[in-house]
Amino acid sequence: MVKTIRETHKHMLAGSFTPSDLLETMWGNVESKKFLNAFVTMRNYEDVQKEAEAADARFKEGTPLGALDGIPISIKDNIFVKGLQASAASQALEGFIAPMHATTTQRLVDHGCLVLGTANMDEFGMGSYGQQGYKGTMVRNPIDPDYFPGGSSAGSASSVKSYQAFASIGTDTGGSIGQPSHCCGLFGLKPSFG
Amino acid sequence: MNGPLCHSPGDLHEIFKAIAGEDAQDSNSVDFSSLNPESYRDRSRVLDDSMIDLSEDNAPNLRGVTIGVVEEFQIEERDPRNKAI
Repeated sequence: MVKTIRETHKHMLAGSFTPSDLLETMWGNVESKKFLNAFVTMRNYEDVQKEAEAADARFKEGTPLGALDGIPISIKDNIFVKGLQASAASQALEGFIAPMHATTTQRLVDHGCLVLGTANMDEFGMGSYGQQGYKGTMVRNPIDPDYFPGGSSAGSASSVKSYQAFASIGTDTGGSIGQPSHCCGLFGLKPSFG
Repeated sequence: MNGPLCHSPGDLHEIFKAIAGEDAQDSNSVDFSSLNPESYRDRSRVLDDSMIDLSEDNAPNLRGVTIGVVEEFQIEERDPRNKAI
């Protein structure tokens, strides 16, 4: 099984599998690992599938957009994904639909990433364990579901570690990327401004 | 601050390259492009290819990178799996 984005890209360049194949596998993981509570809202599968098919065509023509083309990702629930609920895992914002992509989301989409859905988190980022998720759900650590995955970007870490997505965008004010990355055995980066 | 979570430093590099830069929608965002390259390099050295060996996908390699460890977080682990890391 491939483990990284770069490795995946090499396989897709070689034609070992297509972005659509990868999406099907990842979506299967999403379905079979719901007990981890990694996601809040999922996109419509058919919509993502169309984007994957467009990526298929680019690889077939030898014109992929880059290493991120056709890579399934998740986006933390406090970052806008156009058309999806953006609630920061709070029922106070239930029903609020993002009218546009956040700049981060837009840049990843422009690079060919397949956004699968929004990742669970501690409500409004006010937590460090992923135990105060959307509607009271507790995000589970894929290494051992009896353990917490760290927070507040809990669903981001859980979705990546369990291969429901190959990467995720979280947010970090006081350790909300670093801590879940640590707890789930991943690599995380809190960028500086700019 | 938005940032990536991935399976390897190389993957972080790929995602960060895509999202980095000034965000016109964010008044807290800063345009670092006007800084001289040396200054920018100092700030971003952890993602500099010369500092991290990104040649092997599955070999996260931080050789040569200076890291800091916050001692307060180094609690006595109760789980032997954590000790093995």
